[in-house]
Amino acid sequence: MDSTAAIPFPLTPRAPAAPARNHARVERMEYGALTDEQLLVRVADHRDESAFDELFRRYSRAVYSLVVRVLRDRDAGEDIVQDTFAAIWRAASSYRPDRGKATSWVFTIARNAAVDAARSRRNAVTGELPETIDPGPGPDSLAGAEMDAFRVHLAVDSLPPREREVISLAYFDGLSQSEVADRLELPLGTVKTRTRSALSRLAERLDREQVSL
Amino acid sequence: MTGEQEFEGVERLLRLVPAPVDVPADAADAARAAALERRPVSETVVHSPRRSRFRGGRLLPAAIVLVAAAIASLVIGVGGRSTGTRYQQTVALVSARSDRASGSLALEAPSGAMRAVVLTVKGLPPAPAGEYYEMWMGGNSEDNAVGMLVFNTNGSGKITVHSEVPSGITWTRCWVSLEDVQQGSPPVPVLTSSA
Repeated sequence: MDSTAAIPFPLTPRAPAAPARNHARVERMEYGALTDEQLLVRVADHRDESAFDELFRRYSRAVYSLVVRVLRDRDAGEDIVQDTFAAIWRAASSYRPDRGKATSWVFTIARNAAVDAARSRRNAVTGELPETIDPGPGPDSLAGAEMDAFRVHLAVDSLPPREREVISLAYFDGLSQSEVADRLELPLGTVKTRTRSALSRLAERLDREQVSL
Repeated sequence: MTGEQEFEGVERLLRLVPAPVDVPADAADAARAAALERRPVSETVVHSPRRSRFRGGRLLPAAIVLVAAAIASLVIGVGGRSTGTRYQQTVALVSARSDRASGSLALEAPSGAMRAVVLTVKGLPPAPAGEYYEMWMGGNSEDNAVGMLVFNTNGSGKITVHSEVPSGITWTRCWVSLEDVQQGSPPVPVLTSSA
């Protein structure tokens, strides 16, 4: 019998039209509606890979951004992302919703992994503790800033794609609203509307995460 | 705090934090696979299985009976050729239309969270342009079905696909449907494990 290469998935991006029988879309929608805490519980209790996938989708960019900032090394950051999500998969049962938000739990795992990696590399190079003192902010304020950035990135990644696009161009790429409109070939009014809607969602999410605005 | 003040606070934060860094696509795939300790498969991996959140409890006795019946009714040539004792289950797939397509799904014993499967199909013409075949596993209600892999056949109408499915998935039947890439038309069942 012939053994034929199968078509890689997905063949093409799926169209937004939603026929009545589209199991995968229904499934994704349902997982997308769960909170991070609920997803972690599903991973812990059921070893639910779809729940893990959803967590990965929500957190991977924020985790990668965090570890790249700590390590200043993108290649090493990829390894730490692996380690972090492997730890999340293995240790999900140790997460206690009553002790804090999932965001903080994931942040702690990722940051510890990154700091450990940075420490190992430093020790491997010098063989001893550094003699100079970093004149930058202290560890606590650094961790606080990292946590804020982590939460902001998560919040931005939770936006609908159209709103995330305008926010990213305006605030991370530094474009004016007119430039965003030109780039996306949208009326300026549409860009302003999307920006305002996005800021409103971000304010709500960050408030929920207890980030001081 | 007023809405405007909140907006200003958010804008200040957005300007303060560094831009996020996208995870390279291959690194994301590798990280996910490593986290799940996914072992490599021998042939083409079509895509990661998508599990339904609806487990609906453990396998019901009726499901066990159904699967056992399917095993009992497997196409002898397929099951016998496959491997002796290697496969724990082999389920025959018969045409859901009036053509001569047929196939089988052989499942190895679970290995951790996953179990290897081999889907073998023959007599299934290549999917028309803009369409493809997808294998599903699920119960009687299609709402809980989970798409396991996508494939196409060659000019001979045959294909053998090696992949993996979650060990813990609750299913009583599997089937193959012809799917429209653009989802402009509903899926058309072409093979099914149920009579």
